[in-house]
Amino acid sequence: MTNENGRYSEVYQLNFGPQHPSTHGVLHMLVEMDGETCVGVDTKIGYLHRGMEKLLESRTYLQGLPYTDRLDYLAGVNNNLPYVLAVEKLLGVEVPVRANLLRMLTCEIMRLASYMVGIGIYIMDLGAVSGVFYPFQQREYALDCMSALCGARMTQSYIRYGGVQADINEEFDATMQKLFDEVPRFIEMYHKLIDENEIFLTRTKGIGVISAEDAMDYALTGPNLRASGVDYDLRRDAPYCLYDRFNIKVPVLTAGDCHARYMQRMLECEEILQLIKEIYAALQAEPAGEIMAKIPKVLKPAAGEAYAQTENPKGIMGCLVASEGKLNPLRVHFRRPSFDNIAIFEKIMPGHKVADLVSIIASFDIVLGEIDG
Amino acid sequence: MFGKGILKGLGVTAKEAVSPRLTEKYPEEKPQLPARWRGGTFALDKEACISCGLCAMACPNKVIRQKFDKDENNKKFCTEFVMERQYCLFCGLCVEACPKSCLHLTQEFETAVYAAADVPQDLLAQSNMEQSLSKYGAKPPLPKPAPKPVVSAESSAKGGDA
Amino acid sequence: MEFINNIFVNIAGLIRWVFDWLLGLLGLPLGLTDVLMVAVYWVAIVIVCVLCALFYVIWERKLAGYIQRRPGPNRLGPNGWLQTIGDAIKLVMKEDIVPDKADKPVHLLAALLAFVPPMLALAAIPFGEGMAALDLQLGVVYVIAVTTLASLPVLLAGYASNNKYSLVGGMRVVNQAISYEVPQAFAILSVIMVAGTFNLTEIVHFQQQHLWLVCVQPLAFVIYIISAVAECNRAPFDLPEGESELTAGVFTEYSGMRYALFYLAEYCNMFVAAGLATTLFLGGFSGPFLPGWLWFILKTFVIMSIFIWVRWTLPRVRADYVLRFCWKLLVPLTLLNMLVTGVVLYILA
Repeated sequence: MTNENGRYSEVYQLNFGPQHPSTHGVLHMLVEMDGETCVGVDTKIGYLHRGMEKLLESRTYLQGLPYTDRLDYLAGVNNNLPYVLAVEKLLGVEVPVRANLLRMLTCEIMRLASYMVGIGIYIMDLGAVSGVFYPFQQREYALDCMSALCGARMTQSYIRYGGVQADINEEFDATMQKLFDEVPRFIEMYHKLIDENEIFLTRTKGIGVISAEDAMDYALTGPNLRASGVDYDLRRDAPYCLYDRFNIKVPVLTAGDCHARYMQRMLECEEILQLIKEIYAALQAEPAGEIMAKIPKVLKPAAGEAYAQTENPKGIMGCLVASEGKLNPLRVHFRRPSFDNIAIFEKIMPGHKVADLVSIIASFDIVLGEIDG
Repeated sequence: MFGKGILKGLGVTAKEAVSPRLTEKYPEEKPQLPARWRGGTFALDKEACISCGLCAMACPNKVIRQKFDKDENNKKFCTEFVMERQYCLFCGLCVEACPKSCLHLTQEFETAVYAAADVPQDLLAQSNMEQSLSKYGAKPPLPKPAPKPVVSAESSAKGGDA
Repeated sequence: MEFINNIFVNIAGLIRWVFDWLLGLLGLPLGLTDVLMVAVYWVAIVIVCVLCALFYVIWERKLAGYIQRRPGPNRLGPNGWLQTIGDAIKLVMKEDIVPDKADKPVHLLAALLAFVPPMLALAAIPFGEGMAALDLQLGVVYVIAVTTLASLPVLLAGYASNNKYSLVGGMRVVNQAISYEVPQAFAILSVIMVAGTFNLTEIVHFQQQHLWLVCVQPLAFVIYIISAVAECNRAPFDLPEGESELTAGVFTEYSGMRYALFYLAEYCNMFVAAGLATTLFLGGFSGPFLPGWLWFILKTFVIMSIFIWVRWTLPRVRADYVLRFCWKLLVPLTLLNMLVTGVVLYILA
């Protein structure tokens, strides 16, 4: 094709991934480039497909629970929750208050951990490699909390049908205290390190702008949606567990570019920490009690379908469970937030340079385990 | 002033450079594992095991390979009890499912072996609640594993799980 | 103290005396001594290059570790200080892979030529009193000219690899190098205007008599450091080797000893830039108590640490911003600096 200077130029295809340091996993994008500028994107996924939904059909409900952890492996408990909530709808069981508080507490701790990974990896993808070490150190404190509570750092399988696996102990209290001490200092330090950095600003401001209408058209959810100006958070607008007891403050930014998505996560980190403190206080004020409702030994939920959705760190995750009244589910389907989030790549990526593509992918904070399932 | 943000960032990094290092220098410093830590090797209290097979039924990944036989009194006993650790998720569902709390996960985390044949763990071959890990070279016996089961005592989870 | 200060000069004098005596013994003309001394100086510069590469590779990794709250390499040698030797041995033992359709002679030549510009530049830099191998009257001009050559082996490497990413990387390197020559040269020119001479040793003497030129020309110092970082292809201007974008960029097809040569040449280039900055701005080898060459080592150490610190803190600058930053900000600033310097010197004269 001839461009405006009367010169002949060709569009060539660049393979971004699947083996690439910056695609957050095995994401393969076939990018059509005109010189340095991208003119088309074709996203190819499936390199991490493990057949999770089919696998869950051949396991009982309890056996299937550890598999769900592996969807968004950066926030294990958050993936247990929609599956468990959907099955509990079919079981018709009422979860005790203490168990709900524990569910919310662990979900928020892992949400904080997931945000840390998101912002750290974003800075690393932009080139400042040291920027990834500080959030990961803070994430260690969050993982220590989960480790003290249920014994596993990453894939917890902590949330069970009717309640949770275990109650808190002194070790957990000690780790929580460490978390409360360290995270505010870290957030302040990270703001100083990154926020006004001129190089960072030139690489993120105005890149990958998503308008609010586009965000809603493409079913974007989570911090990506809130950074584009849409004020929607499932914990506040359609509360599950006991979120309606707490005052969930949701920061909303309107710029919709990579910088806004990054700042959205940083601002939400502070709000999450505040929420963790409130839930923890409520938990300690709650008298010691049951953490598990009475459910039958052999789980056979009523025949039918149930759908439950929760606000995960990456967006809204939903789980549809269809049951025939047997030991195994008939069909399980997950609405995975990262899968829907990356659909917008084909709209916003053309027109940007190669370096910006990296910035855009990283600002979405995707997890391939979730995309491929 | 142009460049102020960069200077602030440089200041933060300079401060971190003179702060103490946070690395845990393994193998000189071993990690402090929490009491409920889920991982490591398995230990079976052979006297207490009633050969019910609930642990194998609870496992998501078919890690537990058991064979039963009946003795003279028509009582079931276990002739084979192997944990195929190469498939294990360390989810702890088997430990929770055991009605007699005789299956445990230990705090031994240095479980790497040299041969793939050594990975599956034969729980009947070990001496009661203690085991030596590797057939290759001398390895000191494990320290006494944490006596509490993974699920804490105050939870009534036993009644709820499958 | 005088003896330690002049120890290398005295050793050179001793060798020269030995050569004179040998040539006198063999009946050859004494002018050959100078020729033989060139070989001796060259060996000395090679030793300097090797030592600086050995030290700064591990210092970079240790300082990067400290910034990231971890100890860096700490197993090989006492506290990890022999790591470079381990790295060098590992790289030597690797298979020498050259792509099939690559231009093989150029592929090898690029790796070998990478060391030439820093060695040529180090010949003119005074490490101590009377310790410049070539004490040129136009020392500054010579060093600037020679450091410009440092980008050519990288372009050759990009071309010879027969790989579109490498070619793009190589062209970016040349683009960046020639653009940042301009503010670098103008910053140095402001210093020359104040010192009044192009001779590097004379500039150090000027700073010994008056004060360090960094106090007189702080803006020129900052701009020189920024340009040096860009010239050496270090972050934040390391797009040619942009790891997260073009895999390994211009050095994608280089592995093993060939890559080691580029890797070490990068540290020698940085050392040249640091040496020049020390000589022009920080007083070179001048300083109380300690011998001159030790002061030179300490000052270059500080400048190299600044390079490392900047590399591990700042994100990468996008390709078009690299040039925009140079031409729209640095060049006007340096021109302004020269103007102000000229006016002030005229008023003071």
